[in-house]
Amino acid sequence: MSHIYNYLSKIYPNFSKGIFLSGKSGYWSNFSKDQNKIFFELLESTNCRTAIDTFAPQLRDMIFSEHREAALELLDHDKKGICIDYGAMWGVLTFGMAKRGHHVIAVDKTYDSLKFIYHRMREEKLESISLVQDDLNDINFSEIADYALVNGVLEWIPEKTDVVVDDYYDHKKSKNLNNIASKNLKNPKQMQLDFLKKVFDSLKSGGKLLLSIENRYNYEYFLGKADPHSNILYTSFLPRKISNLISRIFKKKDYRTYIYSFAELKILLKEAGFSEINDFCCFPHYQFPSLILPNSKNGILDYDAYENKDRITLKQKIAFKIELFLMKFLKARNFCPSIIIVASK
Amino acid sequence: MKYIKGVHRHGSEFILTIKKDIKTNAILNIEKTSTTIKGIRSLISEYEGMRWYNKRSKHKILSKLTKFTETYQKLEITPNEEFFHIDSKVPFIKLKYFLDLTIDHYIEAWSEYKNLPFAPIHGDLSLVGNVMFNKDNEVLIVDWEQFDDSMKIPTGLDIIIMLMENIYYEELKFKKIKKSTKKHFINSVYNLNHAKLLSPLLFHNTTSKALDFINSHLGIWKGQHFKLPALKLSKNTIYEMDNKISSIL
Repeated sequence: MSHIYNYLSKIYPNFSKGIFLSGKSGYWSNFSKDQNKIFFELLESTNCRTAIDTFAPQLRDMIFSEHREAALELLDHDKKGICIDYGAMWGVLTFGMAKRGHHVIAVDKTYDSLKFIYHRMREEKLESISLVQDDLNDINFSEIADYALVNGVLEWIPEKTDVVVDDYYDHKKSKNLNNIASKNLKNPKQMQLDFLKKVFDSLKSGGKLLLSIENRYNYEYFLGKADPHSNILYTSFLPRKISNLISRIFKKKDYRTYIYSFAELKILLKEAGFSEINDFCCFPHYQFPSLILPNSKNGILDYDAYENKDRITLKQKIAFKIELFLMKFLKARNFCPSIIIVASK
Repeated sequence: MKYIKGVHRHGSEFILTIKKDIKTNAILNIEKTSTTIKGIRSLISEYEGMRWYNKRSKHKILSKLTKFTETYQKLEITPNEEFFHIDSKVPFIKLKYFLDLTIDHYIEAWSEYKNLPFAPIHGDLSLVGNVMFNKDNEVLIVDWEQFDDSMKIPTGLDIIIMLMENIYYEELKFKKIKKSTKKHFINSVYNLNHAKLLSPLLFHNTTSKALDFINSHLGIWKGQHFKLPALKLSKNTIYEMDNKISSIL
């Protein structure tokens, strides 16, 4: 795939240790920078799986589980092609597409994440992955990809502060985050739209986008589950201005991690240029999907109880009973937990 | 309309995708895909199982296994439209009829293994999930994921497991097992033996031996043995069934 290398070289002349570099900084990771430093020292002496098992065993499935690749099957990807994984993070879908025979361009702003993918690539002898370190708001690919993956990424696009996941969710620690950055930024929705337009531009004609995101109207948020990004109650579905006010009070920062309903998301994608938009209800969450049904009257008829190893507490079990009632009997598909979209250019 | 019906279900490692006709809602195609070693092995087992079965059954299962890369394979199965699953809530009298049809079908399909101690195994011959029927009361066995033709498995084990599953569900539902169900179990084992498709390894203490075999060969079930209802039968029931079978064989 030398033409991909040549293409990326023109955009990113700086190439070092297997990664095309934009020169921009940014950070979004499960680990802090200090933790990453220790982690990579460990990685020098062992393989990726052992290093994760030793350093952060709770992330093992998040990083390696093939369970997470399920939505890729909605892409009809029999034809080998080029795939861009936007916000690749640990690379779970990057590896998923590479194992399926595609060449994957994994883009992430966090250098350490790409460094991890590079280690894993070498271990698993998967050469069909190119790594690009860049801010997703600034990417500039033109009609190169057959597939684009935006998995749990769209909501983070407007967030410009550095994110260490656990600290970001922790209200006390997040108050220390720099909120100045957001003052000079565009409206979150506009930033998300601009990003989707860039994704659209990166696709060849007929190319397909796979987008996964939490549903703004997930029934669990009405039952008292916190917003998955702000970690505050009700901000996902309240009007944005009110959510912003709540976020400023409790987190001392703006509410920017917008998630959407089915209808809102489809409008956004149409505005970005996408046509033939197929939407799916995903259960229990897009990160570890067990059931992905078409968002249609017939589609929801196939809803049935499914396995979920994370259904442990009484509260979770009751919530699931409510889900069964909502989906199986009321067919209330617009309140499903996550949304998956397959859209074509 | 395409959707994901299951992901790594019951300890498996494949993704189950269904294609349906938007207008009629009929299933057009079933796809099983995997990128793991264990998942790919089970796809290959299932494909080999269907090929083995197609040579022995009047009705065939159309399937295609495609190896896209060393790390990704896809098994496509075209459902046989004339066949249907039975409802799990059917009364026992009706269920007994379907069990008998399945046993007759087994005797026919496995006929070349008569008098042999070992035979290939389907591995999950669940009446409700993996056996289908048509309006002419013909049988089609599907879902060959656990197929094993290593010839190290006692002949007739599939049927014993299916009968034990039936007993288990009755025990679960009514807290006791009806006489007619016990009688049917014993008659079925007798018929299997009469058809020379019960391995000598299962002659005595048939249910205990079947359970012992499963527990000592869990690898055959590729980590999915826990879904076999037969393993959940109470000790008293096992003891009772063993005694009754021993008295007739």
